[in-house]
Amino acid sequence: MTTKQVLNVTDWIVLVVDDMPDNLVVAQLALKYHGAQVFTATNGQEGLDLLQQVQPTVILLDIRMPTMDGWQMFEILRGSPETRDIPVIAVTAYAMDTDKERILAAGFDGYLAKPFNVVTFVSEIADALSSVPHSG
Amino acid sequence: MNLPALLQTNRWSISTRFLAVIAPVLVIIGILTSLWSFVGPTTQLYRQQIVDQTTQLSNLGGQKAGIFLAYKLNALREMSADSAIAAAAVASNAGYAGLSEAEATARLNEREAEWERGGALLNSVRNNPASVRLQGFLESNPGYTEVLVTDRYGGVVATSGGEQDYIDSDEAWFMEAITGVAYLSAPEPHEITGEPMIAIGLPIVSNGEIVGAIQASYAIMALADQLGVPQLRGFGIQRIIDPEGKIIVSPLPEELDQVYAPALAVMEAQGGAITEAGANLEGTGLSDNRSVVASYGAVVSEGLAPLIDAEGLVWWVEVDSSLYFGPLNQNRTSSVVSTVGAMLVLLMLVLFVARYATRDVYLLVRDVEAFAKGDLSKRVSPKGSREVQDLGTAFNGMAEQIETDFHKLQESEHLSRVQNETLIKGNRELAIARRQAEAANKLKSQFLATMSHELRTPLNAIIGYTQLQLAGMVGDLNDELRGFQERIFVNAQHLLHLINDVLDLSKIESGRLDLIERPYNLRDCIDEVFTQNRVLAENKGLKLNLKVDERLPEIVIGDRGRVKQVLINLLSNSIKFTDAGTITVETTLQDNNTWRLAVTDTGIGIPSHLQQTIFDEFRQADEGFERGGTGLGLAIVRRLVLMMDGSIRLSSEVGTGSTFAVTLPMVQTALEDAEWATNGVVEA
Repeated sequence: MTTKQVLNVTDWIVLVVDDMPDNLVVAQLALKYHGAQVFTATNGQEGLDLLQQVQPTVILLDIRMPTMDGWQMFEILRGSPETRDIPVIAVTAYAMDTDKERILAAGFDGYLAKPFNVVTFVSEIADALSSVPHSG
Repeated sequence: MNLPALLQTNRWSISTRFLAVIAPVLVIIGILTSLWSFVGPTTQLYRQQIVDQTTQLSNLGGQKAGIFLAYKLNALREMSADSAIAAAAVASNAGYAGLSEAEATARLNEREAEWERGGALLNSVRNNPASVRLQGFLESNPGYTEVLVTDRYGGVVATSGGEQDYIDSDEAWFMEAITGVAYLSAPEPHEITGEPMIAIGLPIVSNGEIVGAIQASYAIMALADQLGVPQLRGFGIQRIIDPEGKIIVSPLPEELDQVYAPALAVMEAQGGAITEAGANLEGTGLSDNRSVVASYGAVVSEGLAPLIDAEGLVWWVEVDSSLYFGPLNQNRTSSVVSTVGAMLVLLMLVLFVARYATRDVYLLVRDVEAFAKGDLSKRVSPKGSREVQDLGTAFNGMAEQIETDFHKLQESEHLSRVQNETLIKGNRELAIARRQAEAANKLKSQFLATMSHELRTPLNAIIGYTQLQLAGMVGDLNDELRGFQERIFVNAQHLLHLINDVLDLSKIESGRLDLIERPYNLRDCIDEVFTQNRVLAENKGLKLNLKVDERLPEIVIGDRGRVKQVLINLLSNSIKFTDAGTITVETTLQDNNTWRLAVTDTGIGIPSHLQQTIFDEFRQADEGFERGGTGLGLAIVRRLVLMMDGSIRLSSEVGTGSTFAVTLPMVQTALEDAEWATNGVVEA
């Protein structure tokens, strides 16, 4: 961070789904700092509702949430042809090795453990997206 | 089937066996004994004895009869020689003196007429001294019933009494006696009494002249009585038989004067007369009858001559041997009966003895059976014979052993049952406990996972906001505020480490941490950690050295993550506790299967009293927290090393530094694995 060169992601439309507003704010600030357009939802259902209007570049999905958790929402996303191809990166406080394995095995396109590093947050997302085959 | 076979095949009692052996023997002995009594020498002996006795009896009888006859005849002869008798005859004879034969006959008839009339003649004869003498003779000579004396013409001159003819001259006895010959008639029944009588006639001699005759009637039965002839009555018979075979003396009046055929047969066999005593009865007809033993002896008496020619008289004895043998037969019967009885008694005795002998065995068997039926406390009280006692004692010893063993068995069975039950119960409890523990562990893990999640979530916000400010993403801070934000950041990081370590530790403790052993590049792993921490060390002004043993293989099999974690923890620990100097990471190949990792620092060192507990949880040295330690790093290292079958050693000196040396097992692997490891998912 000694260099002032900031990763520019102005073409990103990011949907952040997290039940904790503070975390939504932190993520939103970090993303916006890098130029991304950010939508937020506090649970899966809200996220799905939002998708009626928005076509995000990537969805940052918390796992543990009320009403509809990340697993359920992910399942619906992957079950629908319209949303199936949207990259989904889990951003969760389930930070154990087994959690990471389980999430990646389920088909998530990336995994970030909370607390995430705000400084490297966007670049890590970019790394994850770059390895998604069709997002090219 | 013979006896031994029977004895072998049948389950007979000892008594029965005794009987089976003894009974036939006894029966055979009984039969032999009975047979012996029939054909044995005893019978022959007895028969011979009877013959001998009979012979003896006949000889003695002959002698006795001779003597007795002689005695009787002598008495009569003495009487004939009596002077009064002779005088009476002489006086009567005188009346005939000078008479011619015719005149003499006339005189005799005359006198007979007078005798018949019962005149003076009769009276004078009956009362004369001679008659008195005759009456005296009768009195002193029992058996004689009548006696009379005649003159030489046959006229009666004296009489003992009774009715008599006067003239006896025509009588056979007179005619024989008057010639000087003794007369002995055959027995004839008495005219009145019918008693068998014999008549004896003797001449009366005076001065060398026959002057008359004397005649006496003798009741032959009296002779028989006096000779003891009837003594054999009921068993046999004794007779006197004359040379013509006639019976002259017999206890049976009806057979007197009868010719006795058996005697005649003997006489004929001996050439006309019985001259020998003996029992040779062949041809007598008696010999056919086995029940009769007969014998005869000659009636011999010198004294009889010349009055009686006793020659040819025999004493004949017949004994009904059947009557003699009767008792013998009875004897025999009784002997058979007694033999059989004795056999029975013997058998019973045998039985009794056998029972007696085996009674102890029976008692023993009874007790043994009681034992066999399960009464293990049963003991026999061996009594009786030594063998039985020995057997009983032996059995008791055996029973004692069996009972002891049985009780031991029961005890051990009981024990093993109890143990089994305890074991089952214990297993059940263990299973329950394990399930509970597993449940508890699961709950614990779940709790930890949740806890970790719930702690990380606010930490994310804290660290996030702090980083946003520190990174200048949300505006500028003055130096003081920046300082505060940095402190917030450091503390939040510390909290985060703490959470991670606690999580790791609890996973290790609950056994939920599984080693994932795969081939990996050990050198790369070490380099990676070294590189990551070099910045940290250099930021503190420390020199970080890496010494890698050239022999150390690149590719090994193991849990890369855990090895890395051990190295990170040790290295960061050293960096934390070292303020100046050098930190050296050194790897060494110890042998083909072991490698050593040593992290040496020039830090504050660990006092010796803490070295033992430094690996315990939350046991970091005093300054630990201030230096950012969680107090769990070394504990995790030690546990991981132990999990990987390695060991860890600490040498340290306060103020000089510390060396943490880890020795880990190592499995080298082939190149293909290495390539797979390099290209595979392991690096993820």
